[in-house]
Amino acid sequence: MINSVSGNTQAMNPHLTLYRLLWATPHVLLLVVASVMYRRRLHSQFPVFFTYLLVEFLQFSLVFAMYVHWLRVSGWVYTQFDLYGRISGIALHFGVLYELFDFPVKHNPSLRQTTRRALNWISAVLVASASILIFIQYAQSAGHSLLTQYATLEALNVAQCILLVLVFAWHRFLGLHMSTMLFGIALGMGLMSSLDPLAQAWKDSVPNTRIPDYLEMISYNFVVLIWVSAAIAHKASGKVLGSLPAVGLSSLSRDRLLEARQSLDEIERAVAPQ
Amino acid sequence: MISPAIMILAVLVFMIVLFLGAQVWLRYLGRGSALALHAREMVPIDLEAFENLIDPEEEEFLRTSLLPSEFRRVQRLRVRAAKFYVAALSQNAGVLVALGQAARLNPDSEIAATGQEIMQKAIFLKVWCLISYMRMEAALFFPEILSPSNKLANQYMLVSYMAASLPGRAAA
Repeated sequence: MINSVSGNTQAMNPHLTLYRLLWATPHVLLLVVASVMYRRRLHSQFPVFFTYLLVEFLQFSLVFAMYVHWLRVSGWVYTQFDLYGRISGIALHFGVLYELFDFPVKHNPSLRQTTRRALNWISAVLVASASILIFIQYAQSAGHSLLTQYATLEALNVAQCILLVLVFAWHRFLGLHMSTMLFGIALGMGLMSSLDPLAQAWKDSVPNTRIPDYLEMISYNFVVLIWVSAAIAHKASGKVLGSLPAVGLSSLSRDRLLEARQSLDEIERAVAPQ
Repeated sequence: MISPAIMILAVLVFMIVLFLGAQVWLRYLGRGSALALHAREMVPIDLEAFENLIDPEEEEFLRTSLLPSEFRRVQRLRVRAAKFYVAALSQNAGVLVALGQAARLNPDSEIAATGQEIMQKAIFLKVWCLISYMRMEAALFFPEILSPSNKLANQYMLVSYMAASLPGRAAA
């Protein structure tokens, strides 16, 4: 997440310190999430999310360096970097969403392909609908033509919110228990994607207010804490599944499973010629 | 002045945050959660009756014996009945998914591998049930064109085989 705050050369004051702290802390914590994921080999299960963490940290490092004037660049370069940072962030968000959708079917290429195709269509419809909503909003503001790129990004963010809801619905439909890490990623992405467009719209419609910035930063801190907790607690998901026999699926015996596999093999053979 | 578009956005965000809160509540505070939903017992299914509903020969017989308007009415009734069967089969597939997922974490590698395999196949069947169900919904509007007996029969057979061959259950 990149904050489009212009550089500030004023002397440090409590307000500015708090601002920088709220901005920098979650990005540093992203590295903690990445290292915990790496230690627990979760990076191989969620490669896109892992990449997102690293890219996000790198982007922040550069923007922060520009912000505090360690890197001296013009306002135009800063704005362009911010814009392209946001674009790559949103592209990675979509990648993470696809990863979450793919997770239950990743071992089945044909089903994965079907899921991808369905997801592409759903995404296209959602982006189109969200674009209409966002462009109506921007059309009412003065100088909206300058903000077209940002409006597009907001529309993509709104579409992502709905897709996140569908991730939960998808797992629920399949009857799959989401692992702690997967649940944490989805929850965090959901919060981030939903609050981002609102904060952005607030900023655009009420100039000279810092409240949306703070809302955005506090929510991002909260999101990263969710990811840290999920990465640390990931092992606990096995315990939840361990309680399955108590809710009705008794006797997970080897015989029963082998019998189930044989039955499924027969089904596969029965439909193979089609 | 807050624009109506921002109000819509705010309502949307509020609903999504509420939804996410509900997910957390269901997972950590609600009793049973999604697992309990799918850990129900299998639904016994009369496969013979189901096969009869989707039998192409039966459909062809009805098509030639009845007036077109009457055929459409009867066909709609058959599709409605078949939908109930597919819904039941989908629930059974959900139970298999939960079974496979639980077995996947078993310390015994053989059981874990079997669990993984069952889970993947059951997911596949669950999705197939969903597609069949959606096509049946469409068949209700166009009973003559989208006949469940023509294009969907094989898919129905797949899920019906699954239900019939569930371990330790007499589905038919």
